[in-house]
Amino acid sequence: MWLLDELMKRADSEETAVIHREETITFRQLWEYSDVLAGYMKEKCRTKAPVVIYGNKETEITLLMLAALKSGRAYVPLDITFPASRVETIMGDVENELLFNFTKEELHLPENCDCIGKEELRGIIGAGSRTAAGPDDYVGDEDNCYILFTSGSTGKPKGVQIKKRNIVNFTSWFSGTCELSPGKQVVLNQVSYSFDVSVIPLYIYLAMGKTLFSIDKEMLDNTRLLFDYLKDSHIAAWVSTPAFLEICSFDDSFDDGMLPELENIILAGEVLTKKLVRTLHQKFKNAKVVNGYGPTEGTVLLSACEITDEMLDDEESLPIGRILSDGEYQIVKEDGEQAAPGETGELVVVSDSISKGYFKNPEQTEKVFFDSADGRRGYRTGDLVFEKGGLLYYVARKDTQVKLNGFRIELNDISSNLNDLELVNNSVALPAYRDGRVSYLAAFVVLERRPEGLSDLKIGIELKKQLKERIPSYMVPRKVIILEKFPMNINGKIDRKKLTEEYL
Amino acid sequence: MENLQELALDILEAACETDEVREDPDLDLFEAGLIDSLASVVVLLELEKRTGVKLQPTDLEREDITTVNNFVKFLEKKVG
Repeated sequence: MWLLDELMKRADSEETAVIHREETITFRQLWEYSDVLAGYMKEKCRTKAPVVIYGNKETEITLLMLAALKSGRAYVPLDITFPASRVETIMGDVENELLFNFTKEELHLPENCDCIGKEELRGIIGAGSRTAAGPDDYVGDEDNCYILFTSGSTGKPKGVQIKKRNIVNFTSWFSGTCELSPGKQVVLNQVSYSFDVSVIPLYIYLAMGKTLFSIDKEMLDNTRLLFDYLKDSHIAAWVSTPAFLEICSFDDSFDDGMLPELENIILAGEVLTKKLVRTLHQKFKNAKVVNGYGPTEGTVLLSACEITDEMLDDEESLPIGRILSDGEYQIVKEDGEQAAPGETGELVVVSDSISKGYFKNPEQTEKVFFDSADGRRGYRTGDLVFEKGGLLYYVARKDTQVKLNGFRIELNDISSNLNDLELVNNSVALPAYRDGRVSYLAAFVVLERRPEGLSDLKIGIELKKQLKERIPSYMVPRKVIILEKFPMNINGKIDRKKLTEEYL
Repeated sequence: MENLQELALDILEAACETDEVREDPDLDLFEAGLIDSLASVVVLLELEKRTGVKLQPTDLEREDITTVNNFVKFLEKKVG
């Protein structure tokens, strides 16, 4: 199943493809407008460099993604949580010729790059196009479709390249799990486009002819507004992180009274708790709950399963599922030996879903990707897991990457950006855990100099403000703790354990 | 009145996990990065734990927990 093939079959359909608030767009419009934009990209760009899209959940973003694919180039979706400076860094790497900017940020553009705002974009669509992009222009199996920039431990984001073959491999395996009963039509489209769980609504459900129901950031910040839209949404499939669904579930009115058609709940991006699944089973008696696992490098998900009552009663935590259909995996212990069943080790996966590597970053690519004997790509996930009865169970990370509300964060990305600030001498970022999950992040800072007359609180606020100009807002630590000096352990390294015990 | 002030501080301190909320009752907690929309659920849980009053997320707007003083006003309406 490939998105463009499926949408082409619906090029004349007047069914609704995307709903965002009071705005709707049909499959015919989706096809025609993306054709116009593909023609525009073809005419405008001299190279096949990816286009960059900086926005939230605007319907036009879907058009732009399709247009990029139709014009044979990748798109780089950057959510509004990314600050301008990070967008600029990424554009410097991508060398894009077009930036589609849905924000009010004024950005410093790379050479030969044009910036198109929302109004201008509507003008382009309205004017139609002289140049057509046809199937010969479309992205091929080995061409990149999107590049997602994730937190990198050096303080610079890494671009994960995903090609058509990766996506087709993922969707052909996972679409069976996504099937809806006849007559069920609407699917939640909430996950940020910078996060690849959003690929499920777009590349699977839209391709099936389903209607995407988009939720933007303002709706997320206002539960009443969100619920007003949800209660008339007819949503049948829910795709999100556990954290978002958990907030909704806290409200008594959020149940099958509000979403009577809901039958498929797909959760991914962070640890799923038994407590949440039990709550969901009570609230939505006719819905199945699917838990998925996978790093961006493996195209959305590398394993998944439906959560059964048996799993809820089992003494283990919930499994992250069975490996995808074409996937081969090994669990490698610290000594390099294969783990026996039940033994914990790093999950290493070979599959057609594995990315070719990081964009323009052979050094980081070399570290974690490899070619297997059969010519397929392999990836060392850095996730520690064990296997029991054919199911995989997540244990922990091998390194200092954490997940906060589904967002993937390298702790060193935070500290190296903090260390670049003029006031900071040295810093360490650490997660605070509650009930086995990351509750918030804290930064411990030793100052270079202490600004006069400012309390620790005010200094902390100032550092957070400066940090927010450099890294996505979800990465800015909630707590900043100013220290005179760091405690050291016997190896002469900063004693993170002691900091955690004492402060978090 | 005084009790509500103290209650507001206790709840926000628990939700933000820091006593920094006590320093300035007009500090914008969102802007200071001390609270986020996820924390609103914790605010409601803490409120129920301390007063037995169970409210829904739809009862609590972002504005209500933007500052300590706003939250005191919210409590006056709902609890006081």
